[in-house]
Amino acid sequence: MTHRRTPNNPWLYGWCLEAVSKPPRIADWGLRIADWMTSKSAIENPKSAIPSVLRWALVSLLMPICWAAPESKEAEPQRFPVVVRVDFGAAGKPAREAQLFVDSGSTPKDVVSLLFPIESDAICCNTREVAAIDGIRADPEKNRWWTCRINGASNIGPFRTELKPQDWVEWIYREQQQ
Amino acid sequence: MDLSRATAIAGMILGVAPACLAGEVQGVVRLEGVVPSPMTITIEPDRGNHSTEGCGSLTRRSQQLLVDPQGGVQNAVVWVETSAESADHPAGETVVLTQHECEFDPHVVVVPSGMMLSISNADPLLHNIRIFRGIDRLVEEWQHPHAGDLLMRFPAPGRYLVRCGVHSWMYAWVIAAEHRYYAVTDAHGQFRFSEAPVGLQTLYVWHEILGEQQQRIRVRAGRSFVAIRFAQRGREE
Repeated sequence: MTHRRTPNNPWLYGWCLEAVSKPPRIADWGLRIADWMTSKSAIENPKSAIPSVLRWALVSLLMPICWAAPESKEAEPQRFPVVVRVDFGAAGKPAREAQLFVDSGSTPKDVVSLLFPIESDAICCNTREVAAIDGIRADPEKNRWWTCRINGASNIGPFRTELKPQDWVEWIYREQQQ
Repeated sequence: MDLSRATAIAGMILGVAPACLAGEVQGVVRLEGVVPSPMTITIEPDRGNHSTEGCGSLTRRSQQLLVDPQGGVQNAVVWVETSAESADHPAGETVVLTQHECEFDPHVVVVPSGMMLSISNADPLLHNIRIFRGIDRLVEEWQHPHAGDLLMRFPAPGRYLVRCGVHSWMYAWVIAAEHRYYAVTDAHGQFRFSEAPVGLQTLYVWHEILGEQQQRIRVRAGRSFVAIRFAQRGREE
């Protein structure tokens, strides 16, 4: 098989088109290499280009690496399942539990907002805090607050902690004694 | 008859008193029926983010509803609704709210118009002061042991809730008063205004559990006595 360094190289473009249909990381690499291989500067000024033998050696080396490379998070967010449970406690509404598929980087706050409308406000310290879920708002007078746990642990940041696959997220409307 | 005396008499007749005429009002706030036993709070030691070392007893009486054997209700706020003007207290004077053994003392405090609230930490541990008006949080400040007092001037008259963000059971009510005719009932449900505007007045009473009620009273130039009774009601859910 021979390869010509022309912009219309059908094999190279065919390969690239095929690569486009693969995971984005591979497509990205394929297109970059194709661009380089067919760049005008390399064609019009062959002296400035890397010798073709070296170039093809490099391509031969890079292609398998590209194919084998793991998918990039930037290119396509991973999606994974988590379980969310919202317990309205003293508010007297029935609890709701669901398995949801979420993007990597999602937080407990993101996840509960897929189930119910939420409101954010500075109940304690930050305007990004969850102040209300489905109209049930934190009530300072009755000492009722939304609390969040991941896999039973409460030392988490509801709008900061990134969830992992299979995490169990609980939002509980808790009334504390006073 | 001089003009001021005529005005005073007219005011008494019409139920509108000039500010210069004042009478003493004593009273009691009672709960009808069976006296409820106080609720007890049991605090779990050092659970989660809060330290309880230095909090004193971990089993304590809730401040929510305190009623003496005669039915006297403690920590009710009593005030006279009046248009009579009262002089502001001198600027710089403060009312003190202390955090002691992980409890606010007093549980209900009135801050008269013109005065500031000073919150102090007498505990050997960290507190987190949060002040709410309704559902709106106005203040959030950490207060270390031996730290300086937190001074607060309230933006408007009304009822404010002070909580500790570390110790969930700790709270107090602050009443930012429009005028000086406010009082808080003592352990026997008694209150006293040394000088209330003479004439027909509306007396209001508010208690965090029992709610609010009002009563028309006639304040005399001497001493008046009033009894206010709350009916039994459960805690709101």
